[in-house]
Amino acid sequence: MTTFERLFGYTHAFDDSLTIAAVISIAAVLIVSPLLTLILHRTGVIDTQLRTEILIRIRSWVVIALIVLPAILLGAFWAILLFFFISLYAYVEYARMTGLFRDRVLSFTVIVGIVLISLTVLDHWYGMFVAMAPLGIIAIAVVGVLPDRPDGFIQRVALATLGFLLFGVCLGHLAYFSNSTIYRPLLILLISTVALNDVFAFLVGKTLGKRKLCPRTSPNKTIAGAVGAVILTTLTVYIVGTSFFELPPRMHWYYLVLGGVLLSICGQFGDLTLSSIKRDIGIKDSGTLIPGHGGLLDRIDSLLLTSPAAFHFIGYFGGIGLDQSTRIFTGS
Amino acid sequence: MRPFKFNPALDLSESRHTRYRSIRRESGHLAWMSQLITSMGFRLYLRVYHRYSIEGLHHVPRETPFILIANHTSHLDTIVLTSLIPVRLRTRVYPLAAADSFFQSRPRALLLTSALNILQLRRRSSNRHALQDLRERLLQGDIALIIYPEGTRGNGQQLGPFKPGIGNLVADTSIPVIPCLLTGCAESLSKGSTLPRPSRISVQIGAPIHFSEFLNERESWQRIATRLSESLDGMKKAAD
Repeated sequence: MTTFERLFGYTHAFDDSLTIAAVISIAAVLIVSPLLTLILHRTGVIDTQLRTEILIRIRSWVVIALIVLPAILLGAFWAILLFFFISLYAYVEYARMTGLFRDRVLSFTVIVGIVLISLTVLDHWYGMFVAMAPLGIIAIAVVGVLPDRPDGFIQRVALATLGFLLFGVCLGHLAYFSNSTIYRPLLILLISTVALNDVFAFLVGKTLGKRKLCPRTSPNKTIAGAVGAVILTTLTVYIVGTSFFELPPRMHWYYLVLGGVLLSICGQFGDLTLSSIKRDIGIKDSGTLIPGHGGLLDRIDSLLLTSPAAFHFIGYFGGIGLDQSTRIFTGS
Repeated sequence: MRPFKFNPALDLSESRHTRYRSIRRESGHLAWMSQLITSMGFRLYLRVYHRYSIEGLHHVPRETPFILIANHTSHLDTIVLTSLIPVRLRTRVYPLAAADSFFQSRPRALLLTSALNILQLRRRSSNRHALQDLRERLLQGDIALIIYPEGTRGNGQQLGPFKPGIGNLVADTSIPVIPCLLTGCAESLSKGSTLPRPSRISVQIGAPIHFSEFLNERESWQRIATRLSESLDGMKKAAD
């Protein structure tokens, strides 16, 4: 596959059977679930208020699917562009949550860093992509010193660094998957498994959960839900991994189980990380972008830690985009 | 320098549809960038097209909070007054505008909030409550305001009576009020005309006035309004 085909080759959208299966099942879920809600309301299982809430949430899911799926399917360029905007908006939300946005120049430095990371991803320049983390910290430290006001220096610089690492570097790994020729099934599998992981934790916790996982951080999470999510997500990853992917020879079955456990645990810790941040500040939602869900961060929190973990896990066995030409724009 | 505050944005819980017309609005990243660009553009425009002159720029404080007041004769007034503000403070200085006349259409409102950082005030309903919110934000020291105490555009000849609302903001506080006299704006862009004419504009900035010895009650608000009106009138008489 040539670079241009990878970036813009929409004819390759359904090359992999997993992509077809995933798109069909996502469409099915999004069509069936509102109908199911209406039926449950008709039969009197749920009241009108709950029905409205669920329908608002499903509508948001439909909008999310209609934005994310085409961007991933149409070509790697659109996927990278989408993840750039997600990173940028996630950071802006974080900056408004923490008050970092009032330090205009420092905040702007982080935004420049996020732009540069997206460019290295598009360029497929892995060396520079990795270097962006320390270089970004250098830039943030320097810009933090320049106004000559040491009061609150640690707060401002630490907030900017955390924001840059979480939303620039960690989420950047999600975009970097696009440099692989099989990025479509990889990204769809990753994003939908992480979403399923949340659903598993919620459902198992609702039915079996008694003891709280960490009540001071997130009062609704239970130990049963967390364990159930790990088991069910691992099972999902194992089944999908063995039936849809040509696994590299080094990758034995237990590595796939390990990958599933890693995915589930990182997803739940990403969720708890954002909960801790919000609890520390004393707010409930990170924003108001997505009706029924809260802010963008409330939706993508589980992906924050999962993206780099999954990236390096897969990278350890097969590498990401090694057969593609690197440094598309900056190389000779 | 203002210390860093580990506080979420005041308008964090407002939706995108209500944020731009909230009295608690705080400029974000996009507004900051657009204001950096537009303020440079406006300064160049005023200097070249209107050959504008400033007198007493040293009276404008280098740190928030403060309130600039001026006689209001033209839409150009706000552009002239915002150009007096140091760029560093630009996003924290909010010109107050009447919600009913400026924010009728949504695109226009978004343009005004992002380019000029206008904060909207509803003229009649819930006015008291909004003023109280503004007073608290001023007392916390994070913002400065640009206010036309006449409440509407005058004819350019005579000052109209000042509304007492300004007294509610500054009575019993150390917030300085800086009177600014604008001349030539009405000739450049009078009420009803759409394109500005290249006539000369000048700004005179008076010494800051404090109202810490006034009690925060209705009667002294009126006295504060009168006192400000007299000072601006005095500047106008001296200029004529």
